[in-house]
Amino acid sequence: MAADASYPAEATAVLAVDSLRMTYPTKTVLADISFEVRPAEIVCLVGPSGIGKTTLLRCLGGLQIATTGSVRTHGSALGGTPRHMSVVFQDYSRSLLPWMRVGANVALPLRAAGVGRSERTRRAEQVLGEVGLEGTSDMYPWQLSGGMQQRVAIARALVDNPRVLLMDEPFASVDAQTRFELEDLTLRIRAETGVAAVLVTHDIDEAVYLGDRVLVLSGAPATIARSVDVDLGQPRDQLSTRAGHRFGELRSEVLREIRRY
Amino acid sequence: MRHVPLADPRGLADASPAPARPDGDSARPGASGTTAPVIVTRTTRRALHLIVPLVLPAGLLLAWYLTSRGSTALYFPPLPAILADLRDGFAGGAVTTNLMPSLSALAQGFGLAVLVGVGVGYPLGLTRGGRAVFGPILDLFRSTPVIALIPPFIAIFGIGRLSEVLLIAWSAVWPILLSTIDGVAGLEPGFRDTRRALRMSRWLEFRLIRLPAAAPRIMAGVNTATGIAITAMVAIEMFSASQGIGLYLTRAQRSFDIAASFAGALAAGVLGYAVSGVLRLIERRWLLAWHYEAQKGKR
Repeated sequence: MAADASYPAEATAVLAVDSLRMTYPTKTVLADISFEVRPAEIVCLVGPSGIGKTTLLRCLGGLQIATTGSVRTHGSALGGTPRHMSVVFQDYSRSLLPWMRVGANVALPLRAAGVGRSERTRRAEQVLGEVGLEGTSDMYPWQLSGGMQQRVAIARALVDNPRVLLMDEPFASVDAQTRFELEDLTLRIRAETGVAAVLVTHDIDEAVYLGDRVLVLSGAPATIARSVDVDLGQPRDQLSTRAGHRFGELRSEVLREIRRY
Repeated sequence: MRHVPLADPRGLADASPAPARPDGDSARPGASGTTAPVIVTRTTRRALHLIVPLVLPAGLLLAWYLTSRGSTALYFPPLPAILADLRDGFAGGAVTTNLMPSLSALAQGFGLAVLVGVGVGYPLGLTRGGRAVFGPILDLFRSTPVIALIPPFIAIFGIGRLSEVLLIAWSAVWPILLSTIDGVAGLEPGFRDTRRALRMSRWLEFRLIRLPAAAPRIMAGVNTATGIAITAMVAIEMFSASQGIGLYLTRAQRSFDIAASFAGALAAGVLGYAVSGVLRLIERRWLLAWHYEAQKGKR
């Protein structure tokens, strides 16, 4: 993951993946993956399970190093996620630290970045408010419901003002109702902060509902078989958007692509 | 409160019609009765919780007292005589010669064991190779009976406090070391990702992730180590100390003061119980409070 200081104007892309390839000793998982993410864009990665969606996301976030190819972003951090990127994992119970209160958990990225205590507290309160969790900072994560814990994880991802959120099946561990709420929270945060997101999901409806673009991974090794532009406009609504004719068409288009292989 | 049914689970049903009475305000005493039964049951339950564990020890003491009362047998002195020796030997001024030296050696040795155990166990837990290399030798050291080591320790470190502190440290370090290695090595992969995703330094990772994540297992090792450390403490004091519980016991034995030897044994038992009790309290209320609370939440 090389930092590229001469990266072109920010308006073009906040993340550019070029010919990324991931090879393990026994097999090649990802081949020739190239795509860009523009500011405030939500790109959803879908594909059959085991195809390598999570591997790709981990390469984007610097949690794994791609065999060849490049991931270009602004700034970088050795052996970790670049500072303007944040990762939201599926399993909030393994990602939030159970021995720390909610406020401290949320402020953790700032603490790692050396931000002072009072500023950390102030900022943590602020993002907790943004995700609808005012007044929870003195509680422990495990005192909250699953959906609330994932909100805490999202707040933590937002605390350091990232430009890109990497989300790995972020809503797979919560019930359907909570899932809708968290999807709308994601859309609202994007609208308010202009953060871009790459979101891995196995749920095609979710990909179409959230995405500005859906990238379908398929084949072995996996490549981007199809990039579907989601022309549903904004804002979106759980009832009317999902019930619309165009939604059904896009959903079928994505599903057909996944089924081809 | 006219009829507060003590510890009656049906007390609620008995009192609940009260607020529903048409004469509203005049029935207020009845209204307070709606909550009282619940509180009483809870207090009773809490009291039982405290009393039940004490029943058996109290019963045994009573039985001891009754059977030994007026005993003239040399090896079975009356309990009051033992308690008198216990008071003379381990209360008031005697504390400084018979109890404090033991306690402070224990604190020093045990503290050293925790420092070394966690300090060495942490890097070993991080490296797979380290475990393979050190594993067998650790198992050998751990399995050597600590009493067998008293002569060599005295030979090397001399008679006195240094030997005692070091023997206590030696005996206590193994369970702490092994549990630290296990705890550190068994870190959830999810937490590892969290460190990298949050760009934490190694030092912050140690303090905020690795150490707290391993803490429940480390504390299990610490609890095991307390018993062993107290055994080591009494044992080496019986051989070589100039003060402390062990010396008190040896003296009692040599002068055929059976009541005093009972008192010494009792003091050692109570000391061990108290030390592990205090440690467990610190663990539950403070160090690992989050752990126990989280466990409770899962059930």
